[in-house]
Parts: sequence; structure tokens; C-alpha cells
Amino acid sequence: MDSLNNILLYTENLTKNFQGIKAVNDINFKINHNEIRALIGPNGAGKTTFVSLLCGRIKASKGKVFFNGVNISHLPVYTRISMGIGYTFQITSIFFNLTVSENVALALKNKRQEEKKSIVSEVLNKVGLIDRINQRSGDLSYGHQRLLELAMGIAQRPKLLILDEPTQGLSDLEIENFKKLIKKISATVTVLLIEHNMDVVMSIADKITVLHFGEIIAEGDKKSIQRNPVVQKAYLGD
Amino acid sequence: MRKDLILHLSALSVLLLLELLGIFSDYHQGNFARILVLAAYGVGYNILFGYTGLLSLGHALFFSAGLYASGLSVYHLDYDIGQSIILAIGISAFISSLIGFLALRTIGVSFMIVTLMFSQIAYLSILYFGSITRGDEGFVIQQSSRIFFSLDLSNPTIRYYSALLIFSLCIFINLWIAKSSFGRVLVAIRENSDRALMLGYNVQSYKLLSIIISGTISGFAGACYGILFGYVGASFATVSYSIFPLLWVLIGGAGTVLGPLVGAIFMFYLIDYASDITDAYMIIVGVSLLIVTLFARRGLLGELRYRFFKWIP
Repeated sequence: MDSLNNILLYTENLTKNFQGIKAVNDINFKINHNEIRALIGPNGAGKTTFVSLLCGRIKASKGKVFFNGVNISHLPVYTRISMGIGYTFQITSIFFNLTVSENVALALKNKRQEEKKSIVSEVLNKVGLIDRINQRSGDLSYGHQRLLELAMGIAQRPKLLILDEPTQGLSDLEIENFKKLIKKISATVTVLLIEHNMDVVMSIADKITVLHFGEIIAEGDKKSIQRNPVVQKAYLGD
Repeated sequence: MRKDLILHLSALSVLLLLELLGIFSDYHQGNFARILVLAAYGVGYNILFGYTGLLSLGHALFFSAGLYASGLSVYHLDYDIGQSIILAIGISAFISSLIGFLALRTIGVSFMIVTLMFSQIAYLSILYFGSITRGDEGFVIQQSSRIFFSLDLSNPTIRYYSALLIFSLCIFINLWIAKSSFGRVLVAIRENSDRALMLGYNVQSYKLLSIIISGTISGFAGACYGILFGYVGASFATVSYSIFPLLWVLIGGAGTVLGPLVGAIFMFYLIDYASDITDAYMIIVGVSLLIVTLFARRGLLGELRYRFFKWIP
């Protein structure tokens, strides 16, 4: 049961039209505190557009977004981020010419120097990049760059962390570590995860939302989603 | 003491000693006074281009705003030097806020074109209002008006020290910005503005602030140039004076505090020596710039920082 107090974010009829094409269509979505929610769907389902609407990177054509009970639909991205929404990009997006620690430090706004240093070390320890703290981030391997991006997301200490295909390009070992890490941080952070790797989804998500042609076609626990014929049809076709 | 502070104090000390020990000939003393004020202009440009990553082709507008604000106030209104420089700083800050507000509605190439257009408007306005500005011909600020606290700024030695002081002030502002959290956010915006936005920074406000600081320093340099060298003319508002700081910064090293000085010295003396050799000196200048670009694509100081001294700000 989703009691109102337990809901961190919800949307009302959220819609995005791109020149007549409805990329996101009338979505009513809810996510609870400390939940790990996976958002899945075939390519072009509107997953990235949907999360971009949540954090304000794209302006909605219609509908509202509520975060922590506040209507944030009219707020600019940086305000939404400051309110506690963290976002990591689908394509690695870090500051390649800055060091690993400088990257993470940039995620820490309004913090004193010493406090920054301790948080940077703590977060890099968590993601396993502490031994690369002074390395130029552009020189890291792709997998490590993805982890750095995740570290920047965690360092922001968001209430809701949106991860857009975070395991893309990671090795099996890195994926295992990633799953453990997400489980660990979900004690304090709500995670909305866009993911194509079904193994990751099935092993860490509390609940799954399936998007197809910009609409939610199914929502529920892992078993119900796996058995759902509409979902199977969306993925496998007729 | 911090390494970066030692480096900049040393560079300034060398420039001071060159004068104190009488190493400069009159010719080079005059050149260096000019270079130092123009490098201060380059410092202003560098804040926007080198640190924030916004390429403006209209900075001559800010330089000439300061130049004309101080020059006209002295010429027509008999302001003293202090008053005219304060006025120039105020006007440059106001104009850069206005231009920044409008130009930041665009990005990339459009930003370059919009800034260029604003600069051209300023240039044509100077020509159009010739009865006040003396148009293309410009005007001379009399020696009697160039006295500041009983110091005659037309005296070459005083002029050199003044230029050094102006440049020092600008690079310490730059150094402070480069080391501050504000400066780091500017670099983050330069590197990846989308990411900076998604970390919760109001990117547009930071960019606007960067334009205002950059434009104000450029205007301050323009005001000082007019007062130290006693001439105010429309040529300083032409597109060339928007391109020069870009070249100084690129050659010296974008995003390095001393880069504009290195670039300005290099360009000034390259043109000076090449024009002694041939009338077609621009060929030599062009080839030299090509070589620098090919072998030090981060600029002279930028390349040194990249290869050896990572701590250079």
C-alpha cells in the first residue's frame, strides 16, 4: 500500500510531445521512499524522456511532478537537484580533464573544504575508486568512469537517485559490485533505475515499471512482470 | 607559501626588476607597458573563454566601453583619473550585464555571432556619434589631465609601474577566481555544462557572472590603456581588438593565469620582429602561429602545465 506519507515522488498525467509524437503519454507514476524501482521497456519506450521530465531536463507538455509533496513541475533543473534529485547520465558524463576527487568534490555544493575531503574519500571508498583519487578522470577505464559518475550521484546525497543504464559497459565483477552498492545505499536513498540488464533488474529491484510507446503497460513485483503477457508481447513482439 | 603564489609573485618580480635594474631600453619599456595593460585585457577575456569556455568575438565592446567611458569623462567633463576609472568600471559592468543577459540566450556559434554583432553596433555607434567621440580619428587625452595623485602617468617610468600594478591586480583577481569554488564551477561548465547543471548549479547565472567579471576587467583595462597612453580611438572597438585577446589566450594557454601575458608578449614581439624583416610580415606571423598551434595545442603555458607542472593555475 502506498500511503501518501510514504510516497517520495509522483506524477499526474505527465506527457511529452515531440512534434506530435507522444514520447511520454499521460503517465501517473509513484515511487516510495527507500525503494529500488526499475524502469524497463524496449528501446524507444520513452524511459530516458520520462526521467528527464522528472528532473526537469526536458519541459513537460502537460502534467505535474510532485516531489516530497511539493509540486516541482515549474521549477528549473538546478532547484530540483538541490531539493534532492540526483541523476546519472546514460552516456558517461563526467569532467574528463579534472581528477577523480575534483569530479566528486563538484557534486558537493556548499560544503567546507575539510568536509568535502572526507565525503570524497568516503564515497570513493564505497565505489572502489579510492586508489584512483588523484588520477585524471579521462584516463580511467570506461567501467571506472561509470563508477565515478555513480560516485558523483551518491556524493550529492540525493533523496532520489535516477540511474540511467548505469551498468552499460561494466564487467561482470563490476556489475556484481554495483548491485551490492545499490542495495547498500537504498537504505537511505530511493533509486529509480533504467536498466536493460534483466539480471540486474531482477536481483535488486523491489518493483518494476514497464514502459512501452510512452505509456506504462505494467507495474508490479518481479514475478508478476515476468508472467505478464502484455510485457512479453512488448518485448518479444507478436 | 603555495607554489602557485610563488610562481606569480616571481613573474611579477621579474617584470619589476627589469625596470628597477634599468635592463629595459626606452623602446622595450614602452612596449612592455603596453603589453601589460593589453595582457590585463587578456586576463579578462581568459575568464570567459579560458575558464568558462564561452568564445566571445565581441570583447572589443567591453574594452572600448572602458576606454571611452574614462576618456570621454576626462575629455568632456573634466573628471579626474580616479573618477573616470570608477565610471569606466561601472559602465563596463553594466554593459557586460546587459550584453551577457541577451547573448546568453544563445549558445555556441550563435553566441560568437551575437557578441560580434553587439561589438559592431558599438563600433558603428562610435563612428556615428562623431561629434562626441571624434569618430575614426579619436582624441588625445592631454598630459595635464593624466595626473593621478600628483603622479604624471605620461612619464614612461611611472606609466610602466602603473601598467605593472594594473596587470598585477588583474592576475591576482584571476588567481583568486581560479582557486575558488566559483572558479571550479566555471571550469566544470567549460568541461561539461550539462553535467554541471545536473549537479545542481545554475549554469546560466554562473555564465552571466563570468561575462560580467570578464567584461568589467576588460573595461578596466581599456580605461587604463586610454589614460596611460593618452589616446582614445575607434580602432580599439574594431573586430581586431576582439580577436587579439583570443589569440593571446590561445597562444599563452587558455585557462592559465599567466597565459594572456605570455601570449601577448609572444604576439607583440613576433609582429615587431617580423615586420622588421619584411613588409609581408603576416606570413611569418601566420606560420609561427601555425607551428605553436601544432606543437603546443594547449598554448605555451597550457602545454607546460599539461606535460610537467600540473599545479600551474
